[in-house]
Amino acid sequence: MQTTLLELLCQKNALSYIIFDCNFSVLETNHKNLHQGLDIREYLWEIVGLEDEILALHNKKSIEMPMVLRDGFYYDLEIISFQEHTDKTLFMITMQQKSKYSQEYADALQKINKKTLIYELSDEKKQNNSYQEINKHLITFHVDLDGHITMVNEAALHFFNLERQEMLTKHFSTFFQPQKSQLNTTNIFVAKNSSGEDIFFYADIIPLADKNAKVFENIIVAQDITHLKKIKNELEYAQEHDALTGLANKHHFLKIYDTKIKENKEFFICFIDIDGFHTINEEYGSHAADMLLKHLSSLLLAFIESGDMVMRLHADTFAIIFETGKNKEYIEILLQKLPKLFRENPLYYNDEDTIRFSCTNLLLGYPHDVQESKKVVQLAQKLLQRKKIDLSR
Amino acid sequence: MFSYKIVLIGNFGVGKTSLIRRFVENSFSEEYLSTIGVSISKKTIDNATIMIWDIEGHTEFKPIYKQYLLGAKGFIIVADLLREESIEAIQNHIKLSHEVVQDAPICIALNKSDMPHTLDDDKLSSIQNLSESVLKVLKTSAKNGDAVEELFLTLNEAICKQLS
Repeated sequence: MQTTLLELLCQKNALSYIIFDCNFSVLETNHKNLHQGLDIREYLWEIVGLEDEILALHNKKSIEMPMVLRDGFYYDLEIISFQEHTDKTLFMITMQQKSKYSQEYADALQKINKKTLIYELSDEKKQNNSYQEINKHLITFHVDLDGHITMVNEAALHFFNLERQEMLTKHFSTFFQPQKSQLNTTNIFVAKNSSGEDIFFYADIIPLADKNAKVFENIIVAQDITHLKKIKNELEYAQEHDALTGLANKHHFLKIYDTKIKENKEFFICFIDIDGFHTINEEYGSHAADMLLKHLSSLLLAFIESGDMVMRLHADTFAIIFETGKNKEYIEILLQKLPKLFRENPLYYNDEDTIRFSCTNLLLGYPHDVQESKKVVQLAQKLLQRKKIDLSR
Repeated sequence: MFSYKIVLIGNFGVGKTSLIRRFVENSFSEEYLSTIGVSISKKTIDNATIMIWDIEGHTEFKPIYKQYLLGAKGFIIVADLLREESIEAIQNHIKLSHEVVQDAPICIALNKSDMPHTLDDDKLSSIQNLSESVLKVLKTSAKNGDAVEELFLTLNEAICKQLS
């Protein structure tokens, strides 16, 4: 009866327990992946190094480990010690399974940590540099009532890469042209910087008056608003990225491919295709299929190394472009890990459905296997299909 | 047979994960994700099993960070030869390691040695002199494998001596 009650309570509260002795050998557990006699450190690697702390635990103290990921779920772990009826000291780990939303929670936490890190790393010196960077764009100069420049600041000289005397006495319009607009916004100007680029400014004009309230000069503060052009860049970004996964799309892939070809150096691409994706789509629905694509993209992003790129070419076909110069044997060793990665990380879609999946991959190298960008995707698809047929035989 | 834990510490993007991958790649090894931003790799050398903790740069959020260092027998501090601020941060990383595990042996990896860099011998010895616990400062390359094996084996040797 007691056992049944314990089982029911554990089940109801998604709780596992592991009792082990001072040799870290499991004595009793209700956790499905563990058995009696196993060294608990084989299952919970986090314990290695903490042996002394665990053995020194007293009844009222505990060691807590939040959000430990195991078998695809997050658990909050607590390790306590207790006395058996024979006065022998034993230890118990309770594993409280977190809800299925833990992954989302973890992702959110990760983002917060990242932001905090950036904030923490921003020391005063760096912050001052940033302000100076901003001030570089705050061009200030004085003009007389006819529009001739009477004074300029360092930022203006820096921007135009001119000496002070080259700007003084010149008319304002020599450097700044009003931006023509249907809205007739006269405060927007465009100027060419020392690199010949057009930079857009919003100008605040502050009149300076004498004692008799007669304006004798104007101060113009020009603020770089080129960042507004960022909107244009964002649209371009959207054109080259997949809305579902956020990965670069085929358009971007071809662009990168062409850029790499120009370097005329050997590089490798791995094409990855989900096996039986249509069946998954039919069996679980399009939402689940979309979630699987997102899941796979996260796995691949975590898998690649710095300098490599993951892209979604279309439907369920992804590609990894490896950093130029990366050794083929090294890449092949990395790719051997993919089946295990997919096997151990199925998509936990909902309480009932765990979507297990596998992928077929194909490694092609430039210039040995592929050359022209026009043919590369088509060739990869053809070879992937052939490989799938061969593997199914 | 015994197991012990080491932790790789370093700024974001200095190549900690790549160094581990390079070290564990050519032999039997296992890896699993432990928690948010932490993965543990396991490698056996002779009769020692090393649990190598890889703390992703973006989880270097102090209150969480120290907790991951508990129980470590040694540290590898990684910096990027091309990023001055990551080299300047080595001193803080040594301090942090010793706050958690006093006098633990440390190896320092100045990574990305395959790229052109300007770090001279004076700077190298000044890094070596940051702490008596620093066993070795090595210029490593996760890309071509230079000094990676030496890095881990030096630390392993020192820890095994301590534990035996």
